Amino acid sequence: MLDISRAERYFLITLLLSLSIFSGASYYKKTSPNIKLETVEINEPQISVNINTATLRELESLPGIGPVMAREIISFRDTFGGFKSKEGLKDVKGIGDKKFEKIRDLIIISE
Amino acid sequence: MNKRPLAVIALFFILGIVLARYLPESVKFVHVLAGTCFFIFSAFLFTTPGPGSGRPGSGSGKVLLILSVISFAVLLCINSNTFPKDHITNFVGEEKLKTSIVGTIKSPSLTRRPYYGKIASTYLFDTEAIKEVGEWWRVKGVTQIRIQTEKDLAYGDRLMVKGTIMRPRNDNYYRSYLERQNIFALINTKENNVTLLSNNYKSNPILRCIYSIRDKLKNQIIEIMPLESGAFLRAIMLGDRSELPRHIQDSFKKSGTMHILAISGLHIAIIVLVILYLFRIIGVKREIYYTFTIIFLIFFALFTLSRPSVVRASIMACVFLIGMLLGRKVDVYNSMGLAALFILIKNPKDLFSVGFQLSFMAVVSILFFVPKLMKLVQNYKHYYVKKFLYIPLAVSVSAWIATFPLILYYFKIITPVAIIANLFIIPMLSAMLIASMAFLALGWLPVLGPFLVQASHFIAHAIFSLADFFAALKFGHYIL
Repeated sequence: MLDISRAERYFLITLLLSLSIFSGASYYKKTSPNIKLETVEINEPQISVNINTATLRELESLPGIGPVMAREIISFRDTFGGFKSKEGLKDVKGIGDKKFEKIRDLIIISE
Repeated sequence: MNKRPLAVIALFFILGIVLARYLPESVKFVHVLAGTCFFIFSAFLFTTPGPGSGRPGSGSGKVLLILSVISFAVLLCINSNTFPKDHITNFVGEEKLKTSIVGTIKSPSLTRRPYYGKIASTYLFDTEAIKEVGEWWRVKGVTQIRIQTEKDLAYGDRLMVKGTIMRPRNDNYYRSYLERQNIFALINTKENNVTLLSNNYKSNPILRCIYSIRDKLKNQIIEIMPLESGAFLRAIMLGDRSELPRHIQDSFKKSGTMHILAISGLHIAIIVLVILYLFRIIGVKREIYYTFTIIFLIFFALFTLSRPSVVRASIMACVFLIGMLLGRKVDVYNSMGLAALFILIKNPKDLFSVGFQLSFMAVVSILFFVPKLMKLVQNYKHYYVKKFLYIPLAVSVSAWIATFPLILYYFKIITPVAIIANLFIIPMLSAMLIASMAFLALGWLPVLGPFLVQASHFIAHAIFSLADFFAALKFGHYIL
Protein backbone atom coordinates (compact mmCIF):
# COMPACT_ATOMS: atom_id res chain seq x y z
CA MET A 1 0.00 0.00 0.00
CA LEU A 2 2.79 2.42 0.90
CA ASP A 3 5.51 1.56 -1.57
CA ILE A 4 8.50 3.72 -0.64
CA SER A 5 12.23 3.09 -0.45
CA ARG A 6 14.15 2.82 2.83
CA ALA A 7 15.59 6.31 2.39
CA GLU A 8 12.10 7.71 1.88
CA ARG A 9 10.93 5.89 5.00
CA TYR A 10 13.72 7.47 7.04
CA PHE A 11 12.75 10.84 5.62
CA LEU A 12 9.09 10.31 6.55
CA ILE A 13 10.04 9.08 10.05
CA THR A 14 12.29 12.11 10.64
CA LEU A 15 9.62 14.47 9.34
CA LEU A 16 6.89 12.95 11.51
CA LEU A 17 9.11 12.97 14.57
CA SER A 18 10.12 16.61 14.06
CA LEU A 19 6.54 17.72 13.47
CA SER A 20 5.33 15.76 16.52
CA ILE A 21 7.98 17.38 18.72
CA PHE A 22 7.04 20.77 17.29
CA SER A 23 3.37 20.06 17.94
CA GLY A 24 4.13 18.93 21.52
CA ALA A 25 6.10 22.12 22.19
CA SER A 26 3.30 24.24 20.78
CA TYR A 27 0.74 22.43 22.96
CA TYR A 28 2.91 22.85 26.06
CA LYS A 29 3.30 26.57 25.30
CA LYS A 30 -0.47 26.92 25.13
CA THR A 31 -1.33 24.96 28.27
CA SER A 32 1.68 25.74 30.45
CA PRO A 33 0.67 26.66 34.02
CA ASN A 34 3.11 29.57 33.73
CA ILE A 35 0.75 31.38 31.40
CA LYS A 36 -0.94 34.04 33.50
CA LEU A 37 -3.46 36.62 32.51
CA GLU A 38 -1.65 39.91 32.56
CA THR A 39 -2.56 43.51 32.05
CA VAL A 40 -0.67 45.70 29.61
CA GLU A 41 -0.06 49.38 29.35
CA ILE A 42 -1.74 50.77 26.26
CA ASN A 43 -1.32 54.45 25.64
CA GLU A 44 -4.79 55.43 24.60
CA PRO A 45 -4.63 58.48 22.38
CA GLN A 46 -6.26 61.27 24.34
CA ILE A 47 -8.53 63.28 22.15
CA SER A 48 -9.59 66.55 23.67
CA VAL A 49 -13.22 67.44 23.12
CA ASN A 50 -14.10 71.10 22.85
CA ILE A 51 -17.37 71.23 24.75
CA ASN A 52 -18.37 74.50 23.09
CA THR A 53 -18.22 73.08 19.56
CA ALA A 54 -18.39 69.28 19.94
CA THR A 55 -21.03 67.30 18.11
CA LEU A 56 -23.34 64.83 19.80
CA ARG A 57 -21.10 61.93 18.72
CA GLU A 58 -17.91 63.61 19.99
CA LEU A 59 -19.51 64.25 23.38
CA GLU A 60 -20.65 60.61 23.52
CA SER A 61 -17.02 59.51 23.18
CA LEU A 62 -16.32 60.92 26.69
CA PRO A 63 -16.44 58.37 29.51
CA GLY A 64 -19.74 58.38 31.37
CA ILE A 65 -21.49 60.50 28.75
CA GLY A 66 -24.25 58.70 26.88
CA PRO A 67 -26.61 60.03 24.20
CA VAL A 68 -29.05 61.52 26.74
CA MET A 69 -26.33 63.39 28.66
CA ALA A 70 -24.73 64.56 25.40
CA ARG A 71 -28.07 66.03 24.31
CA GLU A 72 -28.39 67.76 27.72
CA ILE A 73 -24.94 69.34 27.25
CA ILE A 74 -25.80 70.61 23.75
CA SER A 75 -29.16 71.95 24.90
CA PHE A 76 -27.45 73.73 27.87
CA ARG A 77 -24.79 75.17 25.54
CA ASP A 78 -27.41 76.43 23.06
CA THR A 79 -29.54 77.99 25.80
CA PHE A 80 -26.74 79.78 27.69
CA GLY A 81 -24.42 80.56 24.77
CA GLY A 82 -21.62 78.17 25.64
CA PHE A 83 -19.40 77.38 28.61
CA LYS A 84 -17.04 79.98 30.08
CA SER A 85 -14.97 77.44 32.03
CA LYS A 86 -14.60 73.67 32.31
CA GLU A 87 -16.35 73.78 35.70
CA GLY A 88 -19.41 75.24 33.97
CA LEU A 89 -20.15 71.73 32.78
CA LYS A 90 -21.16 70.86 36.36
CA ASP A 91 -24.22 73.12 35.91
CA VAL A 92 -25.61 70.63 33.40
CA LYS A 93 -28.24 68.41 34.96
CA GLY A 94 -26.76 64.97 35.71
CA ILE A 95 -23.08 65.97 35.84
CA GLY A 96 -21.83 65.85 39.37
CA ASP A 97 -18.31 66.22 40.82
CA LYS A 98 -17.48 62.55 40.30
CA LYS A 99 -18.45 62.45 36.63
CA PHE A 100 -16.75 65.83 36.04
CA GLU A 101 -13.43 64.60 37.50
CA LYS A 102 -13.48 61.67 35.07
CA ILE A 103 -13.68 63.92 32.04
CA ARG A 104 -11.89 67.08 33.25
CA ASP A 105 -8.63 66.26 31.43
CA LEU A 106 -10.37 65.23 28.26
CA ILE A 107 -12.22 68.47 27.62
CA ILE A 108 -11.14 71.92 26.47
CA ILE A 109 -12.85 75.26 26.23
CA SER A 110 -12.65 77.69 23.36
CA GLU A 111 -14.96 80.12 21.62
CA MET B 1 -2.20 3.01 -5.68
CA ASN B 2 1.21 1.39 -5.36
CA LYS B 3 3.39 4.18 -6.61
CA ARG B 4 1.46 7.06 -5.16
CA PRO B 5 2.89 7.36 -1.65
CA LEU B 6 1.85 10.98 -1.12
CA ALA B 7 -1.74 10.24 -2.09
CA VAL B 8 -1.76 7.25 0.30
CA ILE B 9 -0.23 9.31 3.15
CA ALA B 10 -2.77 12.10 2.52
CA LEU B 11 -5.65 9.61 2.70
CA PHE B 12 -4.48 8.25 6.05
CA PHE B 13 -3.84 11.77 7.30
CA ILE B 14 -7.45 12.62 6.42
CA LEU B 15 -8.58 9.46 8.25
CA GLY B 16 -6.68 10.73 11.32
CA ILE B 17 -8.46 14.10 11.18
CA VAL B 18 -11.86 12.39 10.93
CA LEU B 19 -10.92 10.09 13.85
CA ALA B 20 -9.92 13.11 15.96
CA ARG B 21 -13.40 14.53 15.51
CA TYR B 22 -14.98 11.51 17.18
CA LEU B 23 -12.31 10.96 19.81
CA PRO B 24 -13.70 10.65 23.37
CA GLU B 25 -12.79 13.53 25.67
CA SER B 26 -10.95 11.14 27.99
CA VAL B 27 -8.19 10.81 25.36
CA LYS B 28 -5.75 13.61 26.07
CA PHE B 29 -2.94 15.16 24.04
CA VAL B 30 -0.24 13.37 26.06
CA HIS B 31 -1.80 9.96 25.32
CA VAL B 32 -1.81 10.65 21.60
CA LEU B 33 1.72 12.11 21.73
CA ALA B 34 2.97 8.97 23.51
CA GLY B 35 1.18 6.78 20.93
CA THR B 36 2.63 8.76 18.01
CA CYS B 37 6.18 8.52 19.41
CA PHE B 38 5.71 4.78 19.99
CA PHE B 39 4.55 4.21 16.40
CA ILE B 40 7.35 6.38 14.98
CA PHE B 41 10.10 4.58 16.95
CA SER B 42 8.65 1.17 16.12
CA ALA B 43 8.51 2.13 12.43
CA PHE B 44 12.16 3.21 12.74
CA LEU B 45 13.13 -0.16 14.28
CA PHE B 46 11.34 -2.04 11.53
CA THR B 47 13.03 0.07 8.87
CA THR B 48 16.58 -0.31 10.23
CA PRO B 49 18.18 -3.67 9.32
CA GLY B 50 19.81 -5.59 12.15
CA PRO B 51 19.39 -8.53 14.50
CA GLY B 52 16.05 -8.64 16.23
CA SER B 53 14.44 -6.08 13.92
CA GLY B 54 11.83 -6.75 11.30
CA ARG B 55 12.76 -7.36 7.72
CA PRO B 56 13.16 -4.04 5.91
CA GLY B 57 10.25 -3.45 3.61
CA SER B 58 8.10 -5.81 5.62
CA GLY B 59 4.37 -5.22 6.04
CA SER B 60 4.73 -4.40 9.76
CA GLY B 61 6.99 -1.44 9.01
CA LYS B 62 4.45 -0.02 6.56
CA VAL B 63 1.55 -0.51 8.95
CA LEU B 64 3.51 1.24 11.73
CA LEU B 65 4.31 4.14 9.41
CA ILE B 66 0.65 4.49 8.47
CA LEU B 67 -0.33 4.36 12.17
CA SER B 68 2.25 7.11 12.82
CA VAL B 69 0.64 9.28 10.13
CA ILE B 70 -2.89 8.74 11.53
CA SER B 71 -1.74 9.35 15.09
CA PHE B 72 0.13 12.51 14.05
CA ALA B 73 -3.02 13.86 12.36
CA VAL B 74 -4.98 13.32 15.61
CA LEU B 75 -2.19 15.10 17.50
CA LEU B 76 -2.36 18.13 15.19
CA CYS B 77 -6.15 18.31 15.51
CA ILE B 78 -6.08 18.27 19.32
CA ASN B 79 -3.38 20.95 19.27
CA SER B 80 -5.30 23.15 16.84
CA ASN B 81 -8.39 22.97 19.08
CA THR B 82 -6.51 23.91 22.23
CA PHE B 83 -6.39 27.55 23.25
CA PRO B 84 -4.27 29.25 25.89
CA LYS B 85 -5.79 31.03 28.88
CA ASP B 86 -5.18 34.40 27.29
CA HIS B 87 -7.01 33.53 24.07
CA ILE B 88 -9.71 35.94 22.90
CA THR B 89 -12.39 33.19 23.27
CA ASN B 90 -11.99 33.44 27.04
CA PHE B 91 -12.91 37.13 26.95
CA VAL B 92 -15.93 37.18 24.66
CA GLY B 93 -19.26 35.43 25.03
CA GLU B 94 -22.58 35.02 23.29
CA GLU B 95 -23.73 38.45 24.46
CA LYS B 96 -22.59 41.62 22.74
CA LEU B 97 -19.97 43.43 24.79
CA LYS B 98 -19.14 47.10 24.30
CA THR B 99 -15.40 47.43 24.62
CA SER B 100 -12.15 48.37 22.91
CA ILE B 101 -9.47 46.15 21.44
CA VAL B 102 -5.98 46.81 20.15
CA GLY B 103 -4.36 44.79 17.40
CA THR B 104 -3.02 44.71 13.89
CA ILE B 105 -4.77 44.19 10.57
CA LYS B 106 -3.44 41.00 9.03
CA SER B 107 -5.36 40.79 5.76
CA PRO B 108 -6.52 43.07 2.99
CA SER B 109 -10.23 43.90 2.93
CA LEU B 110 -12.02 40.50 2.81
CA THR B 111 -15.46 41.75 1.91
CA ARG B 112 -16.89 45.12 0.99
CA ARG B 113 -20.65 45.38 1.04
CA PRO B 114 -23.43 47.71 2.19
CA TYR B 115 -24.22 47.30 5.88
CA TYR B 116 -27.13 49.28 7.33
CA GLY B 117 -27.04 51.66 4.36
CA LYS B 118 -23.29 52.30 4.40
CA ILE B 119 -20.33 50.52 2.86
CA ALA B 120 -18.58 48.28 5.38
CA SER B 121 -15.37 46.32 4.94
CA THR B 122 -14.20 43.32 6.93
CA TYR B 123 -10.61 42.51 7.91
CA LEU B 124 -8.78 39.90 9.93
CA PHE B 125 -7.39 41.47 13.07
CA ASP B 126 -4.58 39.98 15.12
CA THR B 127 -5.77 40.91 18.60
CA GLU B 128 -3.19 42.09 21.11
CA ALA B 129 -5.19 43.53 24.01
CA ILE B 130 -8.78 43.89 25.14
CA LYS B 131 -10.20 46.38 27.61
CA GLU B 132 -12.20 44.84 30.39
CA VAL B 133 -13.23 46.41 33.70
CA GLY B 134 -11.11 49.46 32.95
CA GLU B 135 -7.89 47.49 32.36
CA TRP B 136 -6.14 46.38 29.20
CA TRP B 137 -5.57 42.59 29.15
CA ARG B 138 -3.03 40.92 26.89
CA VAL B 139 -4.82 38.48 24.54
CA LYS B 140 -4.11 36.30 21.53
CA GLY B 141 -6.29 35.20 18.63
CA VAL B 142 -7.89 36.51 15.50
CA THR B 143 -10.94 38.76 15.48
CA GLN B 144 -12.86 39.69 12.37
CA ILE B 145 -13.58 43.41 12.34
CA ARG B 146 -16.30 45.05 10.30
CA ILE B 147 -15.84 48.79 9.87
CA GLN B 148 -18.40 51.08 8.27
CA THR B 149 -16.14 53.14 6.09
CA GLU B 150 -15.43 53.89 2.46
CA LYS B 151 -11.72 54.17 3.29
CA ASP B 152 -9.34 51.25 2.98
CA LEU B 153 -7.26 50.17 5.94
CA ALA B 154 -3.99 48.45 5.14
CA TYR B 155 -2.30 45.24 6.24
CA GLY B 156 -0.02 46.10 9.17
CA ASP B 157 -2.14 49.00 10.50
CA ARG B 158 -2.10 48.85 14.30
CA LEU B 159 -5.46 50.07 15.52
CA MET B 160 -7.47 50.73 18.62
CA VAL B 161 -11.05 49.73 17.82
CA LYS B 162 -14.03 50.59 19.97
CA GLY B 163 -17.22 48.65 19.25
CA THR B 164 -19.43 45.69 20.08
CA ILE B 165 -17.55 42.43 20.28
CA MET B 166 -19.07 38.96 20.42
CA ARG B 167 -18.57 35.37 19.31
CA PRO B 168 -19.95 34.57 15.84
CA ARG B 169 -23.66 33.74 16.04
CA ASN B 170 -24.23 30.11 16.90
CA ASP B 171 -26.18 28.75 13.95
CA ASN B 172 -25.45 25.57 12.01
CA TYR B 173 -23.07 27.17 9.62
CA TYR B 174 -21.67 30.60 10.45
CA ARG B 175 -19.79 29.94 13.68
CA SER B 176 -18.16 26.74 12.47
CA TYR B 177 -17.36 28.41 9.13
CA LEU B 178 -15.43 31.19 10.90
CA GLU B 179 -13.88 28.96 13.55
CA ARG B 180 -12.48 26.71 10.84
CA GLN B 181 -10.54 29.79 9.76
CA ASN B 182 -9.49 30.35 13.40
CA ILE B 183 -11.74 33.41 13.79
CA PHE B 184 -13.31 33.35 17.24
CA ALA B 185 -14.65 36.88 17.74
CA LEU B 186 -16.38 39.56 15.70
CA ILE B 187 -16.35 43.28 16.29
CA ASN B 188 -18.60 45.79 14.54
CA THR B 189 -17.68 49.42 14.55
CA LYS B 190 -17.78 52.74 12.73
CA GLU B 191 -14.98 54.76 11.20
CA ASN B 192 -14.83 57.33 14.00
CA ASN B 193 -14.34 54.58 16.60
CA VAL B 194 -11.14 53.41 14.95
CA THR B 195 -7.88 55.06 15.93
CA LEU B 196 -4.75 54.38 13.93
CA LEU B 197 -1.86 53.81 16.36
CA SER B 198 0.89 53.00 13.82
CA ASN B 199 1.54 51.69 10.31
CA ASN B 200 3.43 48.60 9.18
CA TYR B 201 3.41 47.13 12.68
CA LYS B 202 5.00 43.65 12.81
CA SER B 203 4.13 43.16 9.14
CA ASN B 204 5.73 40.94 6.55
CA PRO B 205 7.14 43.15 3.74
CA ILE B 206 6.32 40.60 1.01
CA LEU B 207 2.70 40.28 2.12
CA ARG B 208 2.50 44.05 2.51
CA CYS B 209 3.60 44.46 -1.10
CA ILE B 210 1.22 41.75 -2.41
CA TYR B 211 -1.77 43.14 -0.50
CA SER B 212 -1.06 46.69 -1.59
CA ILE B 213 -1.08 45.54 -5.24
CA ARG B 214 -4.37 43.75 -4.51
CA ASP B 215 -5.87 46.93 -3.05
CA LYS B 216 -4.68 48.99 -6.02
CA LEU B 217 -6.23 46.54 -8.50
CA LYS B 218 -9.43 46.46 -6.48
CA ASN B 219 -9.66 50.26 -6.57
CA GLN B 220 -8.84 50.27 -10.28
CA ILE B 221 -11.76 47.88 -10.89
CA ILE B 222 -14.14 49.88 -8.66
CA GLU B 223 -13.23 53.17 -10.37
CA ILE B 224 -13.34 52.05 -13.98
CA MET B 225 -15.67 49.07 -14.34
CA PRO B 226 -19.46 49.38 -14.13
CA LEU B 227 -20.89 48.06 -10.85
CA GLU B 228 -22.06 44.52 -11.72
CA SER B 229 -19.21 43.69 -14.12
CA GLY B 230 -16.72 45.16 -11.65
CA ALA B 231 -18.12 43.06 -8.81
CA PHE B 232 -17.92 39.97 -11.06
CA LEU B 233 -14.34 40.77 -12.05
CA ARG B 234 -13.38 41.17 -8.39
CA ALA B 235 -14.93 37.77 -7.67
CA ILE B 236 -13.01 35.91 -10.38
CA MET B 237 -9.70 37.78 -10.03
CA LEU B 238 -9.50 38.62 -6.31
CA GLY B 239 -11.87 36.05 -4.80
CA ASP B 240 -14.17 38.72 -3.30
CA ARG B 241 -17.77 38.32 -4.46
CA SER B 242 -19.30 40.35 -1.64
CA GLU B 243 -20.58 43.14 -3.89
CA LEU B 244 -21.97 40.89 -6.61
CA PRO B 245 -25.76 41.44 -6.53
CA ARG B 246 -27.79 38.69 -4.89
CA HIS B 247 -29.91 37.98 -8.03
CA ILE B 248 -26.77 37.30 -10.10
CA GLN B 249 -25.38 34.98 -7.42
CA ASP B 250 -28.76 33.22 -7.40
CA SER B 251 -28.60 32.65 -11.16
CA PHE B 252 -25.13 31.13 -10.84
CA LYS B 253 -26.34 28.95 -7.98
CA LYS B 254 -29.42 27.69 -9.83
CA SER B 255 -27.50 27.06 -13.06
CA GLY B 256 -24.87 25.05 -11.17
CA THR B 257 -22.09 27.42 -12.21
CA MET B 258 -21.42 29.05 -8.82
CA HIS B 259 -17.95 27.48 -8.85
CA ILE B 260 -16.73 30.06 -11.38
CA LEU B 261 -17.09 32.73 -8.67
CA ALA B 262 -14.57 30.95 -6.45
CA ILE B 263 -11.00 31.01 -7.71
CA SER B 264 -10.02 27.41 -8.38
CA GLY B 265 -8.04 25.12 -10.65
CA LEU B 266 -10.01 26.31 -13.66
CA HIS B 267 -8.91 29.94 -13.14
CA ILE B 268 -5.34 28.94 -12.34
CA ALA B 269 -5.17 26.72 -15.46
CA ILE B 270 -6.42 29.52 -17.71
CA ILE B 271 -4.07 32.11 -16.18
CA VAL B 272 -1.06 29.76 -16.38
CA LEU B 273 -1.83 28.84 -20.00
CA VAL B 274 -2.06 32.53 -20.96
CA ILE B 275 1.30 33.27 -19.27
CA LEU B 276 3.04 30.26 -20.83
CA TYR B 277 1.61 31.10 -24.25
CA LEU B 278 2.74 34.75 -24.02
CA PHE B 279 6.28 33.74 -23.04
CA ARG B 280 6.42 31.25 -25.89
CA ILE B 281 5.40 33.94 -28.37
CA ILE B 282 8.09 36.29 -27.03
CA GLY B 283 10.61 33.47 -27.36
CA VAL B 284 11.92 33.36 -23.79
CA LYS B 285 13.82 30.21 -22.73
CA ARG B 286 11.60 27.47 -21.34
CA GLU B 287 13.54 27.22 -18.04
CA ILE B 288 13.11 30.94 -17.42
CA TYR B 289 9.39 31.16 -18.07
CA TYR B 290 8.60 27.99 -16.14
CA THR B 291 10.50 29.36 -13.15
CA PHE B 292 8.73 32.71 -13.52
CA THR B 293 5.33 30.96 -13.67
CA ILE B 294 6.09 28.97 -10.49
CA ILE B 295 7.02 32.18 -8.63
CA PHE B 296 3.92 33.88 -10.07
CA LEU B 297 1.71 31.04 -8.79
CA ILE B 298 3.08 31.38 -5.25
CA PHE B 299 2.37 35.13 -5.38
CA PHE B 300 -1.08 34.53 -6.86
CA ALA B 301 -2.01 32.11 -4.05
CA LEU B 302 -1.03 34.76 -1.48
CA PHE B 303 -2.73 37.48 -3.55
CA THR B 304 -6.04 35.57 -3.40
CA LEU B 305 -5.67 35.03 0.37
CA SER B 306 -4.48 31.38 0.22
CA ARG B 307 -7.95 29.79 0.06
CA PRO B 308 -7.83 25.95 -0.07
CA SER B 309 -8.95 25.67 -3.72
CA VAL B 310 -6.29 28.16 -4.89
CA VAL B 311 -3.55 26.56 -2.80
CA ARG B 312 -4.51 23.12 -4.13
CA ALA B 313 -4.47 24.25 -7.74
CA SER B 314 -1.27 26.29 -7.32
CA ILE B 315 0.63 23.41 -5.67
CA MET B 316 -0.51 20.96 -8.35
CA ALA B 317 0.47 23.38 -11.12
CA CYS B 318 3.85 24.10 -9.47
CA VAL B 319 4.60 20.36 -9.07
CA PHE B 320 3.66 19.82 -12.73
CA LEU B 321 5.91 22.68 -13.88
CA ILE B 322 8.82 21.52 -11.67
CA GLY B 323 8.38 18.02 -13.14
CA MET B 324 8.54 19.49 -16.65
CA LEU B 325 11.65 21.49 -15.73
CA LEU B 326 13.40 18.40 -14.35
CA GLY B 327 12.15 16.24 -17.20
CA ARG B 328 10.32 13.90 -14.82
CA LYS B 329 6.85 12.48 -15.18
CA VAL B 330 4.50 13.84 -12.54
CA ASP B 331 1.79 11.69 -11.04
CA VAL B 332 -1.23 13.91 -10.63
CA TYR B 333 -2.61 11.94 -7.65
CA ASN B 334 0.70 12.38 -5.85
CA SER B 335 0.74 16.13 -6.49
CA MET B 336 -2.84 16.28 -5.20
CA GLY B 337 -1.76 14.34 -2.09
CA LEU B 338 1.04 16.84 -1.53
CA ALA B 339 -1.42 19.74 -1.88
CA ALA B 340 -3.85 18.13 0.58
CA LEU B 341 -1.07 17.47 3.11
CA PHE B 342 0.22 21.04 2.82
CA ILE B 343 -3.25 22.54 3.41
CA LEU B 344 -4.22 20.14 6.22
CA ILE B 345 -0.96 20.28 8.18
CA LYS B 346 -1.28 24.07 8.12
CA ASN B 347 -4.90 23.89 9.29
CA PRO B 348 -6.54 20.45 9.82
CA LYS B 349 -9.97 22.12 10.13
CA ASP B 350 -9.86 22.93 6.40
CA LEU B 351 -10.89 19.31 5.77
CA PHE B 352 -14.42 20.28 6.78
CA SER B 353 -14.58 23.40 4.63
CA VAL B 354 -16.88 23.25 1.62
CA GLY B 355 -14.22 24.79 -0.63
CA PHE B 356 -11.68 22.09 0.22
CA GLN B 357 -14.15 19.24 -0.25
CA LEU B 358 -15.58 20.51 -3.54
CA SER B 359 -12.16 21.34 -4.94
CA PHE B 360 -10.59 17.96 -4.21
CA MET B 361 -13.68 15.88 -5.04
CA ALA B 362 -14.08 17.58 -8.43
CA VAL B 363 -10.45 16.91 -9.36
CA VAL B 364 -10.46 13.29 -8.15
CA SER B 365 -13.64 12.66 -10.08
CA ILE B 366 -12.34 14.30 -13.27
CA LEU B 367 -9.12 12.27 -13.07
CA PHE B 368 -11.01 9.07 -12.45
CA PHE B 369 -14.05 9.33 -14.75
CA VAL B 370 -12.83 11.32 -17.78
CA PRO B 371 -10.56 8.52 -19.15
CA LYS B 372 -13.38 6.01 -18.61
CA LEU B 373 -15.95 8.20 -20.35
CA MET B 374 -13.57 8.95 -23.22
CA LYS B 375 -13.08 5.22 -23.76
CA LEU B 376 -16.75 5.06 -24.72
CA VAL B 377 -16.07 7.31 -27.73
CA GLN B 378 -12.54 6.19 -28.53
CA ASN B 379 -13.58 4.89 -31.94
CA TYR B 380 -15.21 8.14 -32.88
CA LYS B 381 -13.07 9.70 -35.59
CA HIS B 382 -14.18 13.33 -35.78
CA TYR B 383 -11.25 15.11 -34.04
CA TYR B 384 -12.88 18.52 -33.44
CA VAL B 385 -16.15 17.10 -32.10
CA LYS B 386 -14.11 14.93 -29.75
CA LYS B 387 -11.88 17.82 -28.63
CA PHE B 388 -14.46 20.58 -28.32
CA LEU B 389 -17.56 18.62 -27.34
CA TYR B 390 -16.84 15.18 -25.89
CA ILE B 391 -13.88 16.10 -23.67
CA PRO B 392 -15.59 19.18 -22.12
CA LEU B 393 -18.78 17.13 -21.70
CA ALA B 394 -16.85 14.31 -19.99
CA VAL B 395 -15.17 16.85 -17.66
CA SER B 396 -18.48 18.49 -16.86
CA VAL B 397 -20.24 15.18 -16.17
CA SER B 398 -17.34 13.90 -14.04
CA ALA B 399 -17.13 17.06 -11.94
CA TRP B 400 -20.90 17.07 -11.44
CA ILE B 401 -21.04 13.40 -10.36
CA ALA B 402 -18.68 14.05 -7.44
CA THR B 403 -19.86 17.49 -6.42
CA PHE B 404 -23.66 17.18 -6.57
CA PRO B 405 -23.98 15.14 -3.32
CA LEU B 406 -21.90 17.77 -1.50
CA ILE B 407 -23.85 20.66 -3.05
CA LEU B 408 -27.11 18.92 -2.12
CA TYR B 409 -25.92 18.45 1.47
CA TYR B 410 -24.53 21.96 2.01
CA PHE B 411 -26.70 24.15 -0.23
CA LYS B 412 -29.89 22.03 -0.48
CA ILE B 413 -30.00 22.30 -4.24
CA ILE B 414 -29.49 19.86 -7.08
CA THR B 415 -28.61 21.24 -10.51
CA PRO B 416 -28.59 18.74 -13.41
CA VAL B 417 -28.54 21.72 -15.80
CA ALA B 418 -24.95 22.35 -14.63
CA ILE B 419 -23.65 19.66 -17.01
CA ILE B 420 -24.83 21.66 -20.05
CA ALA B 421 -24.48 25.16 -18.54
CA ASN B 422 -20.78 24.65 -17.84
CA LEU B 423 -20.14 23.76 -21.50
CA PHE B 424 -21.19 27.31 -22.43
CA ILE B 425 -20.12 29.32 -19.42
CA ILE B 426 -16.57 27.98 -18.99
CA PRO B 427 -15.36 29.11 -22.45
CA MET B 428 -16.95 32.51 -21.73
CA LEU B 429 -15.15 32.62 -18.39
CA SER B 430 -11.85 31.92 -20.16
CA ALA B 431 -12.51 34.87 -22.49
CA MET B 432 -13.46 37.03 -19.50
CA LEU B 433 -10.28 36.11 -17.61
CA ILE B 434 -8.10 36.90 -20.63
CA ALA B 435 -9.85 40.24 -21.20
CA SER B 436 -9.63 41.04 -17.48
CA MET B 437 -5.93 40.22 -17.27
CA ALA B 438 -5.32 42.45 -20.28
CA PHE B 439 -7.46 45.18 -18.67
CA LEU B 440 -5.59 45.00 -15.35
CA ALA B 441 -2.22 45.13 -17.12
CA LEU B 442 -3.00 47.62 -19.90
CA GLY B 443 -6.07 49.43 -18.58
CA TRP B 444 -4.08 52.68 -18.29
CA LEU B 445 -3.51 52.94 -22.07
CA PRO B 446 -5.64 55.62 -23.73
CA VAL B 447 -7.50 53.69 -26.45
CA LEU B 448 -6.92 50.08 -25.50
CA GLY B 449 -7.92 50.68 -21.84
CA PRO B 450 -11.54 51.76 -22.50
CA PHE B 451 -11.85 49.05 -25.20
CA LEU B 452 -10.79 46.33 -22.71
CA VAL B 453 -13.23 47.72 -20.12
CA GLN B 454 -16.05 47.48 -22.65
CA ALA B 455 -14.94 43.98 -23.73
CA SER B 456 -14.87 42.71 -20.11
CA HIS B 457 -18.22 44.41 -19.44
CA PHE B 458 -19.77 42.80 -22.54
CA ILE B 459 -18.48 39.30 -21.73
CA ALA B 460 -19.55 39.61 -18.08
CA HIS B 461 -23.11 40.47 -19.17
CA ALA B 462 -23.13 37.61 -21.67
CA ILE B 463 -22.18 35.27 -18.78
CA PHE B 464 -24.95 36.75 -16.58
CA SER B 465 -27.49 36.24 -19.40
CA LEU B 466 -26.38 32.64 -19.90
CA ALA B 467 -26.59 31.97 -16.16
CA ASP B 468 -30.10 33.55 -16.09
CA PHE B 469 -31.16 31.42 -19.05
CA PHE B 470 -29.98 28.14 -17.54
CA ALA B 471 -31.32 29.05 -14.10
CA ALA B 472 -34.77 29.62 -15.60
CA LEU B 473 -34.90 26.29 -17.47
CA LYS B 474 -37.64 23.94 -16.36
CA PHE B 475 -36.27 20.87 -14.52
CA GLY B 476 -32.85 22.52 -14.52
CA HIS B 477 -32.60 22.68 -10.75
CA TYR B 478 -34.46 21.45 -7.70
CA ILE B 479 -34.37 23.29 -4.39
CA LEU B 480 -34.97 21.09 -1.35
